[in-house]
Amino acid sequence: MAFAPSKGKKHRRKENEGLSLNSMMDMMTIILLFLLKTMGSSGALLRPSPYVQLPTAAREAQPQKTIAILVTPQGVFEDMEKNPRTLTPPEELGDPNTIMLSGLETFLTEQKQFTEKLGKPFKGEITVQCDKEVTYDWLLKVINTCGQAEYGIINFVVMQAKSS
Amino acid sequence: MAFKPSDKKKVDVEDTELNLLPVMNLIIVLIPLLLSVAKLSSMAMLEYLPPAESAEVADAGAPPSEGGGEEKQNLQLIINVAETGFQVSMFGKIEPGPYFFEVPLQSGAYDFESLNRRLWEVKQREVGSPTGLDSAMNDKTGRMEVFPTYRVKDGREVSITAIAKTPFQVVVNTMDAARKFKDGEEEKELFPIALLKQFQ
Repeated sequence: MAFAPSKGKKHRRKENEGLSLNSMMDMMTIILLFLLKTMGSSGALLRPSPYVQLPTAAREAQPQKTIAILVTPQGVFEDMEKNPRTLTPPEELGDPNTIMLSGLETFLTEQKQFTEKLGKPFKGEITVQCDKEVTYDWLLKVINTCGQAEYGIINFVVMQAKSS
Repeated sequence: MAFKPSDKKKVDVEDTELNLLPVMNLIIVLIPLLLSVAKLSSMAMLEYLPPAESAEVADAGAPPSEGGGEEKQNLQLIINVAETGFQVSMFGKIEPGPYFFEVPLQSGAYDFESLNRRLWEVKQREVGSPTGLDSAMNDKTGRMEVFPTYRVKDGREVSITAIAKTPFQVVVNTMDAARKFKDGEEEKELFPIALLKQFQ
C-alpha cells in the first residue's frame, strides 16, 4: 500500500530565506566610519598634486592647506586640482639676474589683500608643494619672494619617510 | 441573522523587514570612493621659518644674565652642500681643522649618515649639554614652547647653503641629517632650526 503523501511537506510554508544583510551592514558601517574618521584627522583637504613629485623627509607634523603653490621644474603654479595657473615661468626662475619673482609676488599680495578684505587675520603662512628635482637657486628665489610678500612661515609638503 | 465572522482574523501578519539593499548600494559606492581618496602614503609638513623669524626664536632662548653675565658666543654652524660633498664650518672658519671639516661623497652620493654622526660630535664638543630651559611664544600655535639653552647662543641653529643645481631632495635630507641623531633607541636633538642661505 502506498503511503499517503506527507502533509507536513505539502503544507510547510515556504519561508522567505533571503540573504541576511544585517551583519554585512554592520561591517560596512564600521568601515565607512573608520574611513571618514581617518580622512578627517589627516587633513584630507590637502592632497598631493599630480604635477609634483614630493621629496621624502622624516617629519611627523601634518600639513594644513593655507595659500598653496606648486614649485615644479616647469615653473611656479597656483595649487589647483586641474590646469594650475602659471605664476612664474621657468625662464624667469632660471634667469640669474632675477631675485624676486614678480608673478608670484603679485599673487601672494592679492591673496593677502583678499584675506584682509574678508576680515580674517593674516597669519603669513604658505604651503608649498615643491618638486624634489627643483634646484636650490629656484628654491631660494621662491623663499625670498614669499618673505618679501610677508609670508614668514613656509610649510613645505613632504612625503613621510619611515624613521630609520 | 448574525454576521459572518470577519476575515481579518485569518490574515497572516507578515514580517516586514527593512529593505537594506539601497543603503548597501550606497555604502558599496562610498567605500571605494573613500579608499581612492585616502592617501596610502602619508604626507607631512616641513616647516621653514626664514632667517628673520628664526633669529627671533633663537634670541628668545638666550637670557642675558646667564653664564655670569658673560656674552654668549655664536657657533655659526654652516653646512655647505658642495659638488665634492659637505663642508661643515664653525665660528666662520674655512681652514681645515677642528672648526672646519668635509664629508666627502660616498660612491658618488652624499653621505648623510656620516654627516649626521659628525654633527653629533660637534654638538657634544661645541654645544654640550643644555645649560637650562627657556620658553617663547609660538605665534602659530599660540602656545608657550619650552626649549633647551646651551653655552653657545645659536646651539640649535644650522645654516645650510648649497650650489645652485642641488636638488630639493638633497636639501631636505641635509636638514633631516642636521635635525636629530639616533643614539640606539634614543633620539637626541642636534640643530633643528635650519636656515637656507645663499652659497658663498
